[in-house]
Amino acid sequence: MPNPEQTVVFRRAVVALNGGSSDARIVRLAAGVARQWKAELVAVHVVEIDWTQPLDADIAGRSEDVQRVLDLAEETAEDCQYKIEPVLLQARDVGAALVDEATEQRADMLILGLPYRKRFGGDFAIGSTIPYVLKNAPCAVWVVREPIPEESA
Amino acid sequence: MFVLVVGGGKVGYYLAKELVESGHEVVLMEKDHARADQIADEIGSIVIAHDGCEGKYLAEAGANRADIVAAVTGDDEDNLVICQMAKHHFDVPRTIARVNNPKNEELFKHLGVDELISPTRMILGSIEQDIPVHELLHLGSLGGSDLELIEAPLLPGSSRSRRAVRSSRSSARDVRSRSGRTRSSPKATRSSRSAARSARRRSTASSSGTPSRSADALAVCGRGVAFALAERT
Repeated sequence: MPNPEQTVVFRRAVVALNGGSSDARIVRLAAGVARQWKAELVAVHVVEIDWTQPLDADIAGRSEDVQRVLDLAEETAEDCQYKIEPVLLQARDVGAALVDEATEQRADMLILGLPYRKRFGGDFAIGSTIPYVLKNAPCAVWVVREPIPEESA
Repeated sequence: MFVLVVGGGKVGYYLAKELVESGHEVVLMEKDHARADQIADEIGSIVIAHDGCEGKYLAEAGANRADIVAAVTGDDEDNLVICQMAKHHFDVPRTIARVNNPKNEELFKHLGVDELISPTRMILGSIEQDIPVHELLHLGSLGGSDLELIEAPLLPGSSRSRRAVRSSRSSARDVRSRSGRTRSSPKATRSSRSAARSARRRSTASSSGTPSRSADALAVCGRGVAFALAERT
């Protein structure tokens, strides 16, 4: 039972999936926290469409890889006995799409994963999406960095 | 409509902003990264921070499916190159170029740019309308021809002053005789309908003269002024 004096962390969270190894981890973490407050979870996967194609081109819907990312999130949430709503988006820019979706969903938390990159010697490449979201998201942002694998540490 | 705007200066910025607000799909190319970031912060993720003069970046920006490419950098040479590539390499249906130096207009036209916007020419035309620096005032050019609409004062005692024009041939001669600059041209007949319409509107607003049109020239006389179609000098 949650302590009633404890502050509610979030009521509705957008969980940003990148198709990488961090997805399962952030879904488990989000489900674990959400359960305490019966919060809603929305899993969002954004497929970036370059300018050579129209934004409404049927790309993400046809891709099995893309569907697999959302399936994995749903399965992970089910393993945690929690429900997550999958959303698939096509956008020109992932960061802007996540911020827009969080705003539209009236989310009070946006959760992102930062996977550890084993190639190129191994490091955490923060890229442009996380800084954009940290700068522009209207809600709280939770960035979950993967642990450094033991063999690399 | 998908519009590719090249150049993120004031013109490009406001152009892109207006187009986005009108619901068009827009991408803006600006080679200065700091400026590109600034525009992206203000308008959204529609900015590509690359040089639009390079074909590979134009391709990246989706020039292959653009309905319009507007080259509005502050550099005429860049604007020409962008429009040339858009037109001939990416088959863009409509190219629009900003021409800063009016002397370059002919070159742009010759090389197939669809539409030219020359702020210098526009301001010059406006100044010449307000301040009568010549006896004949330039009122406007007729697109696609060598013709322009001019306004000239009639001499006191002119037989055309305060009189309805019955013969446009004679009224055209009336204007010609004052300057020796205006010539009637066979080309005038091709554009005379649209010119007659615009001249008629102006005539109605500023005078009570009667417009008329002939086979080789157009002239409209009002109270103390005459409007004529003349070959551009």
